Amino acid sequence: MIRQFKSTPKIYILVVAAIIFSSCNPQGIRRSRMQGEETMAKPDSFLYYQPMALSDSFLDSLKIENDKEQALKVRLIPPPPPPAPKTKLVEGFRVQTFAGLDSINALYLVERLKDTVKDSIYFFKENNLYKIQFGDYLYRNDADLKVMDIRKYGINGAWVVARMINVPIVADSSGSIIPADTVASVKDAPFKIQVLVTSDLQKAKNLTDQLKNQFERQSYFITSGQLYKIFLGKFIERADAEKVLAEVKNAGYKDAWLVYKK
Amino acid sequence: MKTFKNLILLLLLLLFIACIPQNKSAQDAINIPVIKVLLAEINNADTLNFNGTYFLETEEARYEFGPSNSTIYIQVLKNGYKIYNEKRLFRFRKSDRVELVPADARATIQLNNGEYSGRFSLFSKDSLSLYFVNQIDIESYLQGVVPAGIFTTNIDYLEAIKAQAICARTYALKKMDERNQKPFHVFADVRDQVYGGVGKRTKLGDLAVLETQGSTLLYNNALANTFFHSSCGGVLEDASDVWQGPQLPYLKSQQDVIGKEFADGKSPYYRWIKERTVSQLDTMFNYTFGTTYLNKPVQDTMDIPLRMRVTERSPSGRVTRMIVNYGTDQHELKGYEIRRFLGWPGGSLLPSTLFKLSSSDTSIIIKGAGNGHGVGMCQYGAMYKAQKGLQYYHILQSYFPGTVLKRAY
Repeated sequence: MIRQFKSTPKIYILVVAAIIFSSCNPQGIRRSRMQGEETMAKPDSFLYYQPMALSDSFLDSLKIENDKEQALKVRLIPPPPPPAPKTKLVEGFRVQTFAGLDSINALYLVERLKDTVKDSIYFFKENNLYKIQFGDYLYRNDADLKVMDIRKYGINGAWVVARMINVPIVADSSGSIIPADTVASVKDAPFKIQVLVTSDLQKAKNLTDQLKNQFERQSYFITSGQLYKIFLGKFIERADAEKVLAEVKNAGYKDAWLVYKK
Repeated sequence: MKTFKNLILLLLLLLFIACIPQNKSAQDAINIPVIKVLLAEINNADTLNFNGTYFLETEEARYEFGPSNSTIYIQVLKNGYKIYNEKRLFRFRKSDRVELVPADARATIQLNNGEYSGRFSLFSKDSLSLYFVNQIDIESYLQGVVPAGIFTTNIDYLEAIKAQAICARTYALKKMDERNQKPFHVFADVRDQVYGGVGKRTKLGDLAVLETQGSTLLYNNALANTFFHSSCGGVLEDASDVWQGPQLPYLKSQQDVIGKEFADGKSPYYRWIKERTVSQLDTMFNYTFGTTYLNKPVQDTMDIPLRMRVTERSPSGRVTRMIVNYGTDQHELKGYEIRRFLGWPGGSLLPSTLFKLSSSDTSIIIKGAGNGHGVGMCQYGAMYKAQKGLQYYHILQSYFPGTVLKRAY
């Protein structure tokens, strides 16, 4: 009994020492198990299992004999016709406020015009010059009035230029029959073509005769101060006047233009 | 009594010995291989921020950068490059190599919203750009790789994360062998493995790397090809059907099953449906082959035929070849081209080639399964197996049968 008691503390101490060693140094045990070994992933767990083959409707259907050709048709439809233009180009007048090389000043002037002018403003480059024009006036008189108008706002030095202008297209009335009582007499015709202005009376007379013969229309001149203005024809419709104007220009009278006066 | 004293002495001796392995384990850490990761190709200029102290070392000198001058700028020049900040300016020739060495292990560098530790090298790739390479021990590298590859937010997935860590380690070591003579071993993006650096580390990612430290997967005493993908759709693919290489016995087609269910059944990509409209298909043809009809003006209404047919499948059911016709054009698509062609928008990928086609009047319907190439470890499958209680070596064995685990260091 006494011998048993004496040996017990030794055993206890050894056991405690072993516990301390293993708890302080778990790597020692783990390392000895893993050191250099080739660990085949062993089926050492009860969870390890031999996977079974499962049937699945989707996976089972993936067979080449089930693959049919899938066909679609891509329908190409021609584009709708482009919308009719809202404006057309005719000969007329604009007010030009600037023509120069300085684009910065030009832009500044465009901004000023936007505040003062309600008509369309055009800013573009032509013949290496930046140009600012506004308005689309069929008659020179209207353009001249606008030149006077913008002077009130401090924009001086504007001038009238003749060029193609945009005018709204009105419903086409060609083919419609105009009642006889609404046909205006030639006397009331407001359009005429001013062909030339000269200070030489003899030249004015000669040209008047020449125009009469050449275009078979009435031609005359009027005195305006020291100048003689030579006119050709009288037209009720602007379109008719423009047609003759084109002929006059083709004949070499490049400065001819259309005059409207009621 | 004397015996008792001896026993006490013995006990103290044991306690002393128990402390020694700590030193031994620190010595082991020295043997962990260092991997070179290409973090960036600097084409014009870039900025680096230091957290902690770094030394800029050249062949001649060594300069300190720390909290007082924590930002440096790098700029590529015609005949070299320069590194500068408000206080210093260094000019280097094209042949010069600069090392950035941390003063201690906690020091990091920030680059393009990423934070990285370890040592860095800067050297010319060519006359137009610089390589910025991170040299880091492979275990620290894996701590930045694993969270970018698999979900590391749920403790239930720990065994799958460990399996992922082993796959990533094996891949990295294999690349280190293959690119031993190159300026760097791996890219930090999808060209190899996405490396997020210190900033992307997670607790579970770190734990998985630590608990599998040094473990790699071998086949016939060589590092295995540890491919992995997001979701297999229930069936794994044979590697040789995807990459036309030699047959690898551990990368065979098989169902991915646990118990009586498919392991990745919970994956959001387990089954999916995509629709491709006529307009989208026209864009795909234009993007891939330069063929388009929808943008061509026509004088009269006309119908252009558009046809698709699967002509070959691998034993797993994945589409390996298909023929597409559009108008008078006919093209055969193979493997990866199929995923690229049917991806939407142009440049993205169809989730997988495990699909079948059907059609409506105005579109092609693609019913498919899985996400990725389908070879090797299925990550959603691995996560579910981990949830079910399988250990990482069981998971690896199920995806790479016949391989063995071995500590590389």
